[in-house]
Amino acid sequence: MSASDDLEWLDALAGRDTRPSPAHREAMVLRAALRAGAAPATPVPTADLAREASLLARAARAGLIDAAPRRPRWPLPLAAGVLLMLGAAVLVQMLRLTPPTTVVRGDDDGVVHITATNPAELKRRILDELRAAGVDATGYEALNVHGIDADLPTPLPPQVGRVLATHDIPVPADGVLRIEIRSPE
Amino acid sequence: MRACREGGTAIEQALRRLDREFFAVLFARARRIIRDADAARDLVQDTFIKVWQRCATYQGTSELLPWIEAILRHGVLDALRRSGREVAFDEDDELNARLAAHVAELSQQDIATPDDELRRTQVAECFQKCWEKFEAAAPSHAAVISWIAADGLSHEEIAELLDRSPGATREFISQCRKRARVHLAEWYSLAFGKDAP
Repeated sequence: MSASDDLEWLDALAGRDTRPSPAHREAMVLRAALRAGAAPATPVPTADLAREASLLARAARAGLIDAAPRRPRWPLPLAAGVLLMLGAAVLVQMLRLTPPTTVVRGDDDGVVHITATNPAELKRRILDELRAAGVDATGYEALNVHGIDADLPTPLPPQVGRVLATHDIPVPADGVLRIEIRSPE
Repeated sequence: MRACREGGTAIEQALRRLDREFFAVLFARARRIIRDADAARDLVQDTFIKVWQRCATYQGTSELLPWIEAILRHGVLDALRRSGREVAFDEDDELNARLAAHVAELSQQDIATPDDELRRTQVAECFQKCWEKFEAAAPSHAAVISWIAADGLSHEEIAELLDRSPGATREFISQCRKRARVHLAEWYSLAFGKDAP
């Protein structure tokens, strides 16, 4: 077999025109047998979700895509709307929890008078905040009045000053804090 | 392929489209050589990954399927080589030389055209039996021969597939022919000449 004979065999096997020759016949009979004997393709579905998932997992292992499942993306306006609604809901909840108060400063007997729709709740909150700031405060209730008494340290620690400022309560000149909280008339 | 080049979030969609458009045809091609269905599926999916990795080299002027098929063929050949099934071929072996000479002599005759169904079936069954032995002994050579017959591969395309020089490719093609003569000798005897049953 010469090289040119082999190339003739190759061309005939590939179905390209060649002159009739032993190499041509040898290739043609093989070509016909191969093409006739090709088993019919096993039918496979065009779309197969399991197959696609397997392909994507392979792509992830190859570092082509993120392995983590992707969270659904929200369009920007929708996301902004949801955030606004959440903000509004939180604001409403805060307003509900914060009883409206009125503070009367510097009355004649040195007591700070506060009017609140829920005196017990406000007393508890101020007590908690003062105690968290290190003040030994005492709460009481008498004749529908909720009161707080405390001796404030001097000089006044900043965190205690912040608690008082939060509730609009003036710093007592003598260091004795007396608060009375009542319901509105 | 445009999505493939653009990358980013388009990749998943691109891979899904590749799978839907080309899996069936590539799977059929792979199964002709790799009989195991799972191994053939793995090869096709590996091909899709390589398509993505090499998409920058796709010229866009040629058809997409032949380009993908070429990548699949590379993968199939690699798998066959890794399997280590290739049996050494000694063309100076007396029996091999005699069989090759016999087929060369047969090919001087006309191709037999069996005129009844029984004969045709016998010849076809003999071919299948011989071909399976050929595939078992020389899987790479058998695969290349089947691709030449099915896809009309040229000498240059075979050289590219094998990553060999033109001279080495000519030698490989010559080896394909010699091995086919030896392994298919029994069938060649039926397929040629007056002695055909």
